[in-house]
Amino acid sequence: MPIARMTAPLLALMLLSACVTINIYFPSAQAEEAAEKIIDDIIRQQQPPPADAAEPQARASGTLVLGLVLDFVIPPAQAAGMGDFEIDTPEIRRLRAQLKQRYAQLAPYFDAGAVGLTNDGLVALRDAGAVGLKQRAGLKRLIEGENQDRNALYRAIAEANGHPEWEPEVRRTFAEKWIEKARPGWWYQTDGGSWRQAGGP
Amino acid sequence: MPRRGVLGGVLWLLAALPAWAEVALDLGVQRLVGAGMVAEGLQGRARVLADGRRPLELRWQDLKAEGTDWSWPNHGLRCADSVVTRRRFACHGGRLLPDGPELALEWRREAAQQRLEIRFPRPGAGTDRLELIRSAAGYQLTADLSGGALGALQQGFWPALEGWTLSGELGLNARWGNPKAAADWSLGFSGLTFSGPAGLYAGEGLAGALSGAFNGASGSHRFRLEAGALLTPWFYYEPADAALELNLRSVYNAAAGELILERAELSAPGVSALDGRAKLLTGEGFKVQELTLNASGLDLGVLYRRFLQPVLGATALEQAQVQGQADIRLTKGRENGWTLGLSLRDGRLADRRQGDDGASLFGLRGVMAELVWRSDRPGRATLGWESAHLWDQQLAFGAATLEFLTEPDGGRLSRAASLAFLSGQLSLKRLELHWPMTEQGLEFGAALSNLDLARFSEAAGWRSIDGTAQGVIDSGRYDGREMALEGRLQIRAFGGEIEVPRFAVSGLFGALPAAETAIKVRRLDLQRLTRTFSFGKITGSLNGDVDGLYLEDWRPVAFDARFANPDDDPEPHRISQRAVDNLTDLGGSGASGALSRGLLQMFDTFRYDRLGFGCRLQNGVCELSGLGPAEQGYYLVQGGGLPRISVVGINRRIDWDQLIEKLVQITHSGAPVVK
Repeated sequence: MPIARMTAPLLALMLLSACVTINIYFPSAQAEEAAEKIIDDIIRQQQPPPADAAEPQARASGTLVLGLVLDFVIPPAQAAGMGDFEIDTPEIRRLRAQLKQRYAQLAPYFDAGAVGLTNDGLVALRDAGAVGLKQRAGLKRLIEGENQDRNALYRAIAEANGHPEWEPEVRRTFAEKWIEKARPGWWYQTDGGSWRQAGGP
Repeated sequence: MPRRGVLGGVLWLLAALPAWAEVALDLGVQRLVGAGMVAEGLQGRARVLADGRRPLELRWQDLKAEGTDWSWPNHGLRCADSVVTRRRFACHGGRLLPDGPELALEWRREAAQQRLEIRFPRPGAGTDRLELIRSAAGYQLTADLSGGALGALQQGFWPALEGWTLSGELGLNARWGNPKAAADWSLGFSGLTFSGPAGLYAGEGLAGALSGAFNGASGSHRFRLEAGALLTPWFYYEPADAALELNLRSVYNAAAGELILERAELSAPGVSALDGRAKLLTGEGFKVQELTLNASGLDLGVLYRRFLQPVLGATALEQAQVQGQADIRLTKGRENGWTLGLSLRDGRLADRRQGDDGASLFGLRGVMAELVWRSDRPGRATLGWESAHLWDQQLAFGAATLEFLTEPDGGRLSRAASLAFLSGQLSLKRLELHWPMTEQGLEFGAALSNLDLARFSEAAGWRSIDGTAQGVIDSGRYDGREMALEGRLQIRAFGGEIEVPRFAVSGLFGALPAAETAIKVRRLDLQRLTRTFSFGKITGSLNGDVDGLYLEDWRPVAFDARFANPDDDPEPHRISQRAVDNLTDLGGSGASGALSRGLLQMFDTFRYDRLGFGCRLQNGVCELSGLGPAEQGYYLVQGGGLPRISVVGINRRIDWDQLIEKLVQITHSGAPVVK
């Protein structure tokens, strides 16, 4: 009988526990900070941080018989800087390096209005007429490579933080930051899909 | 034909109606056949207005040409005014439906001919015109078309061209039909600009001509491109100073369903002679049954610059330097697959990286190649060069001849080859090439022997290191952009041995090369080591192990390293003043030169018992360790004898980048400063 009496509450408890979901919210602020850091590094708008780390100091004393003390005084280890938001994995570093390397080739096309920033965090050929036919094949390959790397970056960041399902939020955060960081004259896509030119500073 | 008669009669009746009555007539015809055309689902409304105008609107579900695949579905014609008689149909103020351009259309039946004329008003001034005349002599089509009309024609007549943009001017004159199947045509175009949906095909300002004649059995054809720029997935061409011209003759055997193209002649820069012959089966589409194409005296430099370079944008060969002469023979037999023969002489290839003053990553000189590739069975190839280099000629390879067995989807080395490399030998054991390059690419295995480290270090811009290296590349892969290597190395240098039991490099030539490896160091002569790196003088031997070494862009990101004298070191252990000073200077400030200022300056070197240190690098921080605990920290150098000098490390965590910066400063600081 005790078992019978226990069954109902146990069942109720099981049902209840089955309904409990743990929501882990997307850390928007840290993600924005991370996106800003990554984009600044790619488009080199940000100066290197000031070298405020303490100079290493040494204390040495020599005596005839005992010894010399070598003292490394070292600044504390650099923290990742984004709280718990991870953007420092080999895969993310590799993708960032590729985006940075390609940026030098893509920038003139952004300036000319041939390529624009899309509302889903990618780039697209906006005005083929702004590019000579001779550059067209190379630009097509640049755009394909750029979008492949951007997609991989958003996925890698979501996965590095243990939440592959965050990819759409990571993408949205980057899409907004890319547009925010667009230089005057660059074209970007509005939420409605139309093209608009970024204004002055 | 009765339905056609009824419709004609109704339209005629409508036309004959007096102008004072406003009349509207709606008609629907399921299927109408006539003049070689079939109209289905025809809907029409004809009206007569009080002012005498006769507006007309016709829509059809489908309009087809009898005996062909041509179809023009869901279109129509609206006329602000019309004339309909048995000998004339005219549509004024017309528009092609649903959203086509404005036009005026007139059809007339004259004594010996029927004439259809369509005019499109141009946006500026002038008119585009298309005229088709049918007579006992056959058909004659004359067209003089530009932008809007081209768009209308494209939209109306070539649904397959949906998504293309087209502008420019076309002048066409064509006759056909009498005798049956005879035809001649000439099409001139200028300012022709077009672009396909994916941007794969595009033209800008093209000018040229296409002409030909065909008498039912044989014909001649000519294509000439004189100006503009043309882009296809395989080549780009800008005629500028050299028109591109292709002439060929054709023989058509309708009974056998065969079309033979022969005496093809191409006039293009970089091509000194080309001739070809092809037999096509015309049953379903065009299928190549036999083909022979010979091109000789091809100037690869000119072909690369004028035809290939723009389509290689953003690839490793985008900025290449290409030279050489080649002959190409492409054949296909009736029962066989394709065979490509290539003969290359005096070839030279060097890639040029952008923004690097033309420095090249790799290059080959004196290249010769003979290739026979078959699409259905193995073939053979030989590739040789007089010299090769990597990294802007810093690493030079000697002459080599490689023999390959080709397969339909690639090829592989048929026997091992070896070439001189930095006084040693590089033996290429295995080399496989797979098409397409981007998916599987190049795979290889090789062995290095007796590599001269002095020459390697000089080429790499390092301090000269005496020694030799040998190694094995178990697996190398290149996908056209990046290379990955796995293997092992054994190096004899500094009087000892450095063993790399395993290394894996990925992303070589890419934006961020990465390497995973481990290193074992045995009995390095510290005196040679410290002399090479100007660190002062330390004598003795050094053993060490670096585990879990991970590098990005050739900079260490993580490792666990331990170095110390071996327990049974027979070498004398002495350390110079400068080496001690440099060790303290690594700490960064005031203590530097402490020894040379005191009593100790009387001694050039000091005896030490043992030295050893460890560093575990993680997140940019090196966790230091030494020989064992000291009073305030841990021993890096334990003194021996008198005067007894020990070096003690205090802090256990050090910033890696700053440590490296200091080391570079010390080892580049020039002449020793021991007083």
